[in-house]
Amino acid sequence: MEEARIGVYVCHCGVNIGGVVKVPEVVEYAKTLPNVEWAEANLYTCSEAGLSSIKDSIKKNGLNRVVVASCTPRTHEPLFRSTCEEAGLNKYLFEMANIREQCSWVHSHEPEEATRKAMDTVRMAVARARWLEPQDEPEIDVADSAMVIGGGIAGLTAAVSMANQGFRVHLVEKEPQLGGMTRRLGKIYPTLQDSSEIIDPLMKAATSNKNVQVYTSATLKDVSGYVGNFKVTLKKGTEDANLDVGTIVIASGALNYEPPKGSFQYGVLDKVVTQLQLERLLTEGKLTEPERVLMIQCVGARTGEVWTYELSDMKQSFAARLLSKILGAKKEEGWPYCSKICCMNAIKNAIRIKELWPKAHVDILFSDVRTYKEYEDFYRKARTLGVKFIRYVREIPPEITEAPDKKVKVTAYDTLAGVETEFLCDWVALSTPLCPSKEDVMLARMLKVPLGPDGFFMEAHPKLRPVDCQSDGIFLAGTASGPKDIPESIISAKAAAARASILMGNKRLKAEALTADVNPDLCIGCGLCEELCPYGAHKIESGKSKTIAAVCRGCGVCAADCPRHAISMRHYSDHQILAQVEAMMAQ
Amino acid sequence: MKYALYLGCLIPARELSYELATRKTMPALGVELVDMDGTSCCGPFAIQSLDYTGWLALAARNLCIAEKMGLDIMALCNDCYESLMMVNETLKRDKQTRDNVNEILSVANKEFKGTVNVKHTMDVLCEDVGLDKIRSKVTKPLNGLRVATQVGCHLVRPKMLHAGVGRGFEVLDDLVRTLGGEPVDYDDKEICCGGPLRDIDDHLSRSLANRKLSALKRANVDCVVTACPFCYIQFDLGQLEIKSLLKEEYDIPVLHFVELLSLAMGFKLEGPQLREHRVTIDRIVRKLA
Amino acid sequence: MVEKSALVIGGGIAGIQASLDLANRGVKTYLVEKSPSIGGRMAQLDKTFPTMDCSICILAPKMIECFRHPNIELLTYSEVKEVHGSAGDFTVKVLKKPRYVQADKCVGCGTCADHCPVELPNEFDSGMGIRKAIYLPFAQAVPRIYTVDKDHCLDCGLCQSVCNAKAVDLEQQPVELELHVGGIVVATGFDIYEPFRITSYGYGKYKNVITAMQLERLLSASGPTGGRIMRPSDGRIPRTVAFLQCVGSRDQRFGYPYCSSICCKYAVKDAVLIKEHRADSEAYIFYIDLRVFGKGFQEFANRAKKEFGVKFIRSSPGEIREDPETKDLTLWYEDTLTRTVNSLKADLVVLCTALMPRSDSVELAKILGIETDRYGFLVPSNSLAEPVDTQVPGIVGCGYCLGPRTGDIPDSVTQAGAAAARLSEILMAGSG
Repeated sequence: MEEARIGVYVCHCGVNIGGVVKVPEVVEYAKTLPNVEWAEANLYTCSEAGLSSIKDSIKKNGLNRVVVASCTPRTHEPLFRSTCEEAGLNKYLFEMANIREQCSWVHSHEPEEATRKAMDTVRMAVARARWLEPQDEPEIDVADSAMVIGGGIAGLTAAVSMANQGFRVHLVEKEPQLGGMTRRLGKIYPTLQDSSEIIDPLMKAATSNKNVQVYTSATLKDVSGYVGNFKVTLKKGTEDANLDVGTIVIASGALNYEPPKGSFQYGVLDKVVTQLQLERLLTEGKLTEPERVLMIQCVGARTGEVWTYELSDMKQSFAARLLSKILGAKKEEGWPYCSKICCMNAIKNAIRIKELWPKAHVDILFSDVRTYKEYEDFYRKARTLGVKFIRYVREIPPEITEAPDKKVKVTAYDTLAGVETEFLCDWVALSTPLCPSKEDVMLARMLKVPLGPDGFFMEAHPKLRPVDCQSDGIFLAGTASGPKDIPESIISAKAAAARASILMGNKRLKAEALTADVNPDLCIGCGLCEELCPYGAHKIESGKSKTIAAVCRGCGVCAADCPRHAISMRHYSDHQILAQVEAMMAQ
Repeated sequence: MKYALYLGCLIPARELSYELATRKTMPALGVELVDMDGTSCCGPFAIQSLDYTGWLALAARNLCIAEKMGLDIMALCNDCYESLMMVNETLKRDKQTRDNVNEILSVANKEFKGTVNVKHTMDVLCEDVGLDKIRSKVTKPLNGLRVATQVGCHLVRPKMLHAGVGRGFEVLDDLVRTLGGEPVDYDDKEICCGGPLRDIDDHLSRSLANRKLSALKRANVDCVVTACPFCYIQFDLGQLEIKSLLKEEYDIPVLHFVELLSLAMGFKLEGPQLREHRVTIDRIVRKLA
Repeated sequence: MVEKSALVIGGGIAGIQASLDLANRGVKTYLVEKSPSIGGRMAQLDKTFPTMDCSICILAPKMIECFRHPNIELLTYSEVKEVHGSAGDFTVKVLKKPRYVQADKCVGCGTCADHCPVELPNEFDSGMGIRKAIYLPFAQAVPRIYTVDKDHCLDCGLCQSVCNAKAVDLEQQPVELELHVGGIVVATGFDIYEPFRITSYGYGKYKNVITAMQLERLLSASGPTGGRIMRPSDGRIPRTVAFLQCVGSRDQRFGYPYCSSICCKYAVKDAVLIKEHRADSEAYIFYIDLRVFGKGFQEFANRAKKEFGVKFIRSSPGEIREDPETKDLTLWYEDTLTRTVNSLKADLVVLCTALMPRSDSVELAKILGIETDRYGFLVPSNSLAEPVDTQVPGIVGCGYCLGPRTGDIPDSVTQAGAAAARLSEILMAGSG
């Protein structure tokens, strides 16, 4: 191996690092380390000036290894690696030392110790850099076809978008017909047009597109493989169908939560229904002119909140009564998040009722009215039509009892009027959230993608990668990743199609070099690696372990467990790691 | 009979057959197993030489979980068993040490009270269930199958510790006899399998395993059963290593004793369970089918 | 002949993402940005909710990726002047405004700015910080080329004389470019409403009444105070901070009647940051409806209340008064839940003001031949079924220029992807 000539670049990151760590001292220290031929400080190594400086000094000093001591590799490693490549170095000859998140930010009150720790960190990075070797990245072919799971509005949108770009799309829908939740809606807010006006043209566009193959009454039986090369088995009736696809879009939608029987008298009193059920009744013309309709928001959503303000601020006796009610309340069933669309949905149905029967009373019990963006106009319209909005205390569910003449009596505390109010209603509509379905768990396992803490599919990064899954080649569209209204579902589906199209359009993909490397001379074919690998990247063939580089995520479990130490990780060899450990122990 | 089931780290990760066979056979023998929530590593026996108090606290934390459940512990792995049992006894008897450990445990809102006992599966089988009951549940007797037994050091050493339990190297032999097999004696039956030396002195570890395996070969056994998951690795995976490095082939099937028990009781071993064995046990399964 | 190229107008996160999605798809993309650097609003933020990522840290790699992408040509400090043609075949005239600095010579060393005698409030710090007449908008600017603000330049020539790279050219002329593209993405973002007209709040009069964006700059480590929240009047670190929601939003009298969608969320985030900066501080959020919808936000707001002790008061304060000596503020408000009238003494008041269309959005829309709504936001061709398309086929929009929507960063990124998809459908039809 060539003699290492290491360049060390220590970043001030403005005052993020430089305000705590004495960067010039770290630079001077770096210069004393063996094999370090160049060391400098930068104000912002990631800026153009910093990157140019790296490239120039590599060329001027004949450097063949680069260490940047700055922030987290998570955001900036690809950038610095590319910079090394531009200067003619293999990108794996680069090592990063985190002296911000793991140093200046957490030890911001101990500048002396932080500076020493930064020096230690740099010494360790240099120790590893000495042993870094150039690596090749395996190239994977990407098939130019996609599978879309779910034929609702998101699935259809994604399918059509990809098909229009010339890719073959397999659209898999478990129901006998396409259309999903949108078909079950009557009117859509805020235009109050029929949902069929949106969904029908989309279904037609998908079924008539020669690039789209639709499978209805079909479910996923098995998915194996990896990005660009997924092998899918569908179950359609009694038959199985096998597909090879390059990308997968998850558009499996969400369910409308139904409260457990007895909760809010749901399932006990006929006139207590969910908002969706009320909508069906309205659309099918099954509702006769009501005297009063009451809607209760946030049923089964925003659970676990404690938003009751200081009870001491309220009138004594009532506060005491409220307190006993809160303490006596059972643990709430439902979901912790806000489902975003229920406020608008309730207002939509309220407006429909008022437009049909202007004399009817419509009351909405709310906690916060979340009519964001220009939906504010819709909220105003409802109020103008006479819909009453009453703020109730969420922690205390209204009392609901049967009343004569098939009516329902609802008692709730109106926080703005300051009184307990009784309503005698013909219908009580419970606005419940969109929630993930239990089948998502099976689907997630089959595709090896994670679910978030709220039970919906989890994105790779909540801000910057909202439609990507953590597993390459799999994307999210529609309510499968969280509650959305129709335009948001369509937008997310198009974005997922865009991301999938990038992969399929480029036809080839480069995988990371950090993969397992099995030494066949040492391997005894015991199969422990195959057993333990979470990604299915090892297979025993002819008594030896073979790695599928494309699937390997470089986790290292196999290397740690191999009884013969036959597996090492490319770019994370034992030698490199032990060099870091020894550097850490040294003074 | 009801026990808190302590699985340990190794068996759930690499020897699922051990766990599965236990979960099938014990209820059939009238033993109810309740899963423990929030357990950690037991604190293996050897850790005490690195950090004595740390070892005590680590083990005690697990004991506290069982105490809260109000159940005695049944441990599968020999090392877990001995470690938990020793810490349990030490803390029960020595108030000063108990106080020290409880101070550490208070950070985790736990307190060791000394209200439970620790047993190994073997203890539960021999004492609570009894060999007679086991015999009555045998539907597929072993028909004189020549079975060698490897008890595992942590079940029987140091002798002084286990003397009260009345356990010796022959305890698995009794079980084999009960199931209708023929326990076979072999040279070096009482030496260590070499397991703890893995990764520390691979050469010595391998040569100890080799010594035992060649003794088993000389004794002409049909198979060997182990109680300890480590001994299992030494014998099973070890045969592949020895074949590759020392060029010796043995082809001796290695079973967990609960696997043999479950076969004798008429249970089937599932595909994944069979595949776990590096040295195939197909012919044993066929013989007993 | 369909031109396999696209123009993206606006270099904020939406424009950047759209450019990357198009460029990665093999479409040659021109990214035109009016200001000297791409980055937009996201570069001005300190942390993003609810993950509390450092905003510029997650943005900068994308900015650099745009800069280095072989399929993206950055045209900063440039404006779109004319557009003709139709989908697949647009002709666009772009004016490259003169920076008076030669892009290929400038290394971004900053010596010129060190010597420039002119100081003025900088736009990036929302007026809280200073820049020179020759300046870099912010430290991580892409491209890292200095720009001369001719309106405030004295023509003293100092910068020219100290520049080692001989990059300053005070005679530089604007350049007109003609581009041929197949599709156009509008991603021009938003401006921030400044509530001078709401005189009862004293914005512009009282030094310690600031907008939320100004607070972001104070919180930011790269801001004018290096991340220490020093209040404008005396530099003291405030103990009590009050946030007022819906200032100029949901308002029929001042500002705009719509809801700006993100202010409740960022107020919770900023309140948590205040508490993190100083453990014994108090943060109050005065709200009408707490609109913390979206993934993880309700849970984040719960944490803010429970773990961080942020106080929420359902009220829209009527008046803010200033103590002329201490410059402390007193808010008078009616707590709608306890139905009592109270006052609160605060060291710093943060107004969460409306996000409004850019002042030149209507003008740009005219150039493109697309419609705007009564506020100045772009109107999609069908708000439900075609939410990113405009009336002109081949021209799509994304980000806040389309209006509040969900308004936050993931929303802009998703819309950018959708816009890229729509253009790809036109430009790559059937070609795969």
